[in-house]
Amino acid sequence: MRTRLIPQFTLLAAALVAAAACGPKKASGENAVKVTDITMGRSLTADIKIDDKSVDFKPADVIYAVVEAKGTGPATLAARWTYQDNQVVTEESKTVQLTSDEPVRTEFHISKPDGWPAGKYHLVVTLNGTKAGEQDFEVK
Amino acid sequence: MRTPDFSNVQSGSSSSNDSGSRSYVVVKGDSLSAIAKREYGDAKEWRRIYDANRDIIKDPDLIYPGQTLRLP
Repeated sequence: MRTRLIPQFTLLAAALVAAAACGPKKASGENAVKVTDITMGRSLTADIKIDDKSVDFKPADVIYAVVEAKGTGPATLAARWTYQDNQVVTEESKTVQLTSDEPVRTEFHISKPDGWPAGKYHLVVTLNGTKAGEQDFEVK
Repeated sequence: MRTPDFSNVQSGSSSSNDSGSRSYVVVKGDSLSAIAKREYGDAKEWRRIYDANRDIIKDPDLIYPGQTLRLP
């Protein structure tokens, strides 16, 4: 009896180890990072948060967008700013290293010394090349 | 309707996990002491900003709208 139980126990232990190895895996690579928030405004706090949220701007404003991302791994964030019928205003990208679930805030800003033309604008944010969010805003 | 010219647009970025600095775009009416007062709560800290930006600020009394400064 004893000699038959040992192989059965060994098989059970092996099955448990295999099941544990096949359990939920920690996300890795691009799936591990995500954009959780996009806010816009005219100024920033020292810890990179929008001071006065707004999507309405004046021609002389510096326009800020703060992108909050979470996860683990490298994240290349890009901001593409366009005017009216998709005329590109400018593009900017930044790679950040996300190390935990603590969110990392990245600010993108644009300014125009002679003032922004009035009209409707659009911001598209991508994360590692994939669209992660967008925001309309207007200069009046 | 004329197509606007965006060739002089200035842009930049910084992150909360950058090693100890971020960027700030100078606006009309700014001075180093005013920025220091706003960012650090003490106008006397203007020299920190000046020292971090000596490559682009030649005279601490002269900064220009649109300049992007590093805030240490």
